[in-house]
Amino acid sequence: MLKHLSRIVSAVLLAGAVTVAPALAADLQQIISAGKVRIGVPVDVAPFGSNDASNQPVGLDVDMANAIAKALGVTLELQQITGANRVPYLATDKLDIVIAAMGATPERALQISFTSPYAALSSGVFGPDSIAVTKPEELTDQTVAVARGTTQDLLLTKLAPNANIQRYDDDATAAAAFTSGQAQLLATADIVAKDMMDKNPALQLKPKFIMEFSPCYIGVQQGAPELLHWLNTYVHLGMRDGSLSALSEKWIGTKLPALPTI
Amino acid sequence: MIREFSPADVVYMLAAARWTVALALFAMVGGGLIGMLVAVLRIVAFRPANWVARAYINLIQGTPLLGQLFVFFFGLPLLGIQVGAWEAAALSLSIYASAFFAEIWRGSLQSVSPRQWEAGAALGLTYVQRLTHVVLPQAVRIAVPPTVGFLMQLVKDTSLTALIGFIELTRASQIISAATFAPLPVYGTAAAIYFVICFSLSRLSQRLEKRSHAAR
Amino acid sequence: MPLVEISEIHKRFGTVEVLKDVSLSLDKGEIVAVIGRSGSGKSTMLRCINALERVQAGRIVVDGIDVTAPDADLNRLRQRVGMVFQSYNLFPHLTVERNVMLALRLVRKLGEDAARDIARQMVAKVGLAEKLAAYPDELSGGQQQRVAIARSLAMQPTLMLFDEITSALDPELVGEVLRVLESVAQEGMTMMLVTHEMNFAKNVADRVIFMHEGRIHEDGPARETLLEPRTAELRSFLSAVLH
Repeated sequence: MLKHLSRIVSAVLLAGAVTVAPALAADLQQIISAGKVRIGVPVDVAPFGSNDASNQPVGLDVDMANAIAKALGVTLELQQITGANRVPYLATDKLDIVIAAMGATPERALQISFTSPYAALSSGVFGPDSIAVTKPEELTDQTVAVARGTTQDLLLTKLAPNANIQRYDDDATAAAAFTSGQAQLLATADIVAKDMMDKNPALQLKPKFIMEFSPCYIGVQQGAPELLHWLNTYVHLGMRDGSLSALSEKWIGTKLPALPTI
Repeated sequence: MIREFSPADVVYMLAAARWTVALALFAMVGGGLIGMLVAVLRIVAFRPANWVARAYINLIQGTPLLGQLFVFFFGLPLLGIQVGAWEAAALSLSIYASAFFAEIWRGSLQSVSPRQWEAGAALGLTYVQRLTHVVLPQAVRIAVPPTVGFLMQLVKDTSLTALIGFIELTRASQIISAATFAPLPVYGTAAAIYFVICFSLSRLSQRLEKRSHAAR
Repeated sequence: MPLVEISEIHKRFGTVEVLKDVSLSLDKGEIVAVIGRSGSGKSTMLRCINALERVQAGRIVVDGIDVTAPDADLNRLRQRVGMVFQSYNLFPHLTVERNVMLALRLVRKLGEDAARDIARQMVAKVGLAEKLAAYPDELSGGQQQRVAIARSLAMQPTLMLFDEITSALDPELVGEVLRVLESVAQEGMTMMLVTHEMNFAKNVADRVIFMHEGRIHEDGPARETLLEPRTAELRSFLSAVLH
């Protein structure tokens, strides 16, 4: 309910922002002359961003943020963000860039701009052998736990409109709903399901079906065309020289396939 | 990728709990000061002041704290006013608390019998003397339990500041839960820390109440 | 010159006229009992004398102070006029000693020690020396009322008003309060008391005023008025309270 409300409030405020606020965005030149770039990353979306044993943020998105700051030749100001506040942070000029395993939607693109995809993850629906489901259309009565607002959530909502989807704050809570029996199936990234089974072999997380390979995009403020273009160039070059694929292998365990550009 | 929940995580959560306590303390002091002013405006014999105070209380009590945090942190910058997360959190928590304190304290003041005012008057005490020596000491004692009760609520409400970037106790728990996939022990630990904070408050309240000889 | 001079006062609460053209004068040292049915206006008249209620018309002068003047110095007036209420109205957050000391400190501006001396003296006088450190909620109703009397007397008033001070007490506690009243009377204090204790009125008061429907209906020497009422209203009132 509160999240819902915060979305309404943010939508109203951001609608106001478009009309009231002049171009607030710090574009490429300003970032370089300021000598620092403000990048938001998640700390609750492993393997993109999570806290390590010494509670320092690590993950694909954190590496990406470091690499971008380095390539820009400026210092990195890292800010942890949540699913609820990442768009408002950008729209109100509290961040220059958000790298948060974000899926692009036409609605989100009204408020912020997306670069070409820099990573992708394979998502699926997982569960015990006793549940015989092989494709999204067969999902009806079974309850599926998913982390709210993630690419898995967006995909599942689109592919299985009849499914009984239970949305939780993050992957860990969704997983807990599955392990405790509150939900019969779990929709998550392949890598998360694999890790969970490695950690707890008794867990029955068999792939039921794989949803599409979903790309992740970097978000920037609107009104920063030079920064957007620079990031697209950076992603393009990273695709070509294999560095983004290497990053994917390091964190997700698979090579990066060819992704369509924006 | 998924790691174990470790003692270092408990330390991290305790460190984050300092924010919880700091935010609640700030809201208590800031909200207390504003709340006193609003409570006075609410009862002075000047109608427009009563109206303004009532409108303020209704507005703040009638809107969620989350929305207020949002407006202060993300809304003010749209008007060209830059606010940091700390300022926004302190301001909105104080304002939120002030509306509740104002109502609690107004009720406490008004629950002191008019006969106490009369008894003071009959002895020749001035209005201010009646207020400060007769009515306020009794009102304060009446106000202790509901005030402390609201403070406990406030301690837990500080978790909403995660929206504007604070890593307080709840947000820290969520981050660790996301890294360990062990929400049960993580949130169990968080609950224990919240309990310690709130239990200390309730003990404080009991102490203050024990010393009281309020009107029967 | 009388100590209290009430001339043609009128008092309304909304549309209800509670006092209709009441006049009365009271000499120094006089003890007056005011009797009458509830709603007859007797308590209201008492409360007008120390300006807890303001009159709509008429004039009240107490010890040279015009109570009804718009700029009357009420705090000065109330230092000279003590009042004890039906519901005691002790300050529940203060000990017996502190209850008595409060106005001595704040109004008479006495030092801590001087105020405490007077407080102890007054509390001893009403027979509660051992209760100095007690809080009001630890006392019986009768004890609380005795403290309330001590609290008023400590201010050394020239006039004492008692508003049905035994009405809220259990019957067995009435006696101890009336005994305190008697001893105050014996010291020559000017007193006006609204009461239902007819025997006390007869034996202690010099004068009885019977109020009926907002007016003074009878006014005369205590024994005579109570034993030989002139009007049918007082007769019916007395037979109602005595049986």
